[in-house]
Amino acid sequence: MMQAAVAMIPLNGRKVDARSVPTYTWNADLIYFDGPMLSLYKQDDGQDVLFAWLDCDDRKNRWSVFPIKRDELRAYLLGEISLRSICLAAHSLLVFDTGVDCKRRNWILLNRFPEEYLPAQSSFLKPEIATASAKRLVSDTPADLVLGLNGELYLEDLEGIPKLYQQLYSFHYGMEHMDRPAVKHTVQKTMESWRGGIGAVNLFSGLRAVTPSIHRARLKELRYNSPGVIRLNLLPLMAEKIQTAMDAIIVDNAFNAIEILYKRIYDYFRDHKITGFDDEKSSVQLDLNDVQKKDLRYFVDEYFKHLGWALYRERFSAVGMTEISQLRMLLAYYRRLRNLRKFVVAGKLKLDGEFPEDSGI
Amino acid sequence: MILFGIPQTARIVLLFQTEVDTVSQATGASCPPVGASIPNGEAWRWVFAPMSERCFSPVAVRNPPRLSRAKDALEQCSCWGLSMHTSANASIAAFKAVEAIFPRARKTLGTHVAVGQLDGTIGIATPPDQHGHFDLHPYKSAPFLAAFQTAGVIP
Repeated sequence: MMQAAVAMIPLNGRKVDARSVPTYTWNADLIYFDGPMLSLYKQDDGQDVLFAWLDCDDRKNRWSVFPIKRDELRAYLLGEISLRSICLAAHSLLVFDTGVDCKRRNWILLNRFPEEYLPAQSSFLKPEIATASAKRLVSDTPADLVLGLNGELYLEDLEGIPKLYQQLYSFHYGMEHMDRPAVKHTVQKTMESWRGGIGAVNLFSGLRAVTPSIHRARLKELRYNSPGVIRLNLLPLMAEKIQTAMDAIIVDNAFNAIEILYKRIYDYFRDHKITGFDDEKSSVQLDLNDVQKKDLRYFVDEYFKHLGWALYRERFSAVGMTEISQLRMLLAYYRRLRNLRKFVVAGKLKLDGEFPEDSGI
Repeated sequence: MILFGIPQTARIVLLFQTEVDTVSQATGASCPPVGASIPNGEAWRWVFAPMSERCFSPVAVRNPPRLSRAKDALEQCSCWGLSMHTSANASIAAFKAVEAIFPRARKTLGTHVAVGQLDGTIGIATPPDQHGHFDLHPYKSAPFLAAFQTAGVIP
């Protein structure tokens, strides 16, 4: 605030203990002039929320937090609906203050948006104020995809298939959206603190936390009567990438070749006391000599060759990822792809549509 | 020290060089971004009246800073830049669109528009986007008050 102090309006709401406030993960700034004014965050339960600047005095800034539905977010980003309509429709509104240290304090729950802060009827996200990140979020259009189910399935299969698919989807989302700062930071932080299986889980869950609802794989239909379907609404490019990776390892010869490579890498890691696999909890060895680095680079190249990911090689390098980080990511991905392959090979899962009706058991 | 688009002999220290370098190291991306260069031309900025040096303080060092995350100052390069436009029309159109969303925008962004002539003494600027907006990363000795004049109240 640079003008003479003008007091903020008093708010009549219920004080909220900061410990009961959800954790928010920053996804993107949508309006940004000399700092963020409207930002997209994800709540710890997966709900998208907007952080909107409201007011300030000479000591603090005041912000609002309110939920936004998937369809509303897309419509707002496309300039089809106003922020006013979203504010009026919001079923909850939290307000907090930030001071010099930017820590969030004085949480208040309000029943409705104060009139003084309500955006105008014309509060559309116009191109001249939307950030590049906001424009990027709507440049990908979701579409429906059907995963075919078939054969004798168990509850753990119904848990395993969507989980593995979601993790692979998150990985490709990260690779394809590394230009979004929130995605890039997530990848970098996970790589810096990789601890075996914890690192792999953090990578996939971290990427999920920076995937806004409009980009997540949304369940539209779940039907199983052998055969059955999981109908998803998702970004088609990620589904294509998963399909391509699966195609690369589905045939036995190709699978055997990549398995041999996997085992070679695993043995190499063990021989050189390099840690970081799913089943290890010890800390990472980072002091690699030049020969080791060269060997790891060779393994990375081989893996990329097997999976046909020349473009990802460049993106990995662009974020300053070391060979060992690249390998850890690749192997974490591969282990999940390999597990999903088991369902495909067993005739229980089809990644590109329904099984024929007469193929049921 | 990381500077871009400038001959070695002409390199001048940015106003927040240490902080900008920290952002570069933390993110693995250049700050100021690759493509930023010495500006040459008219620039319009939202300011308060009377205009003061504080009108040209990046958000990260304002008191209080308008940041919803404490990490922004460490991770966001633009926190150390100043928002500007290439024309009065672009500046005013953007402000009107912002004010429609944030009724109290004049308390934090400014009440007037100021115009200045940018050259090699002011700082390094990102390329303007298609709506004429860019970020200026000021030099330590940038003579903002001499370079900018208030042009009027934002309508």
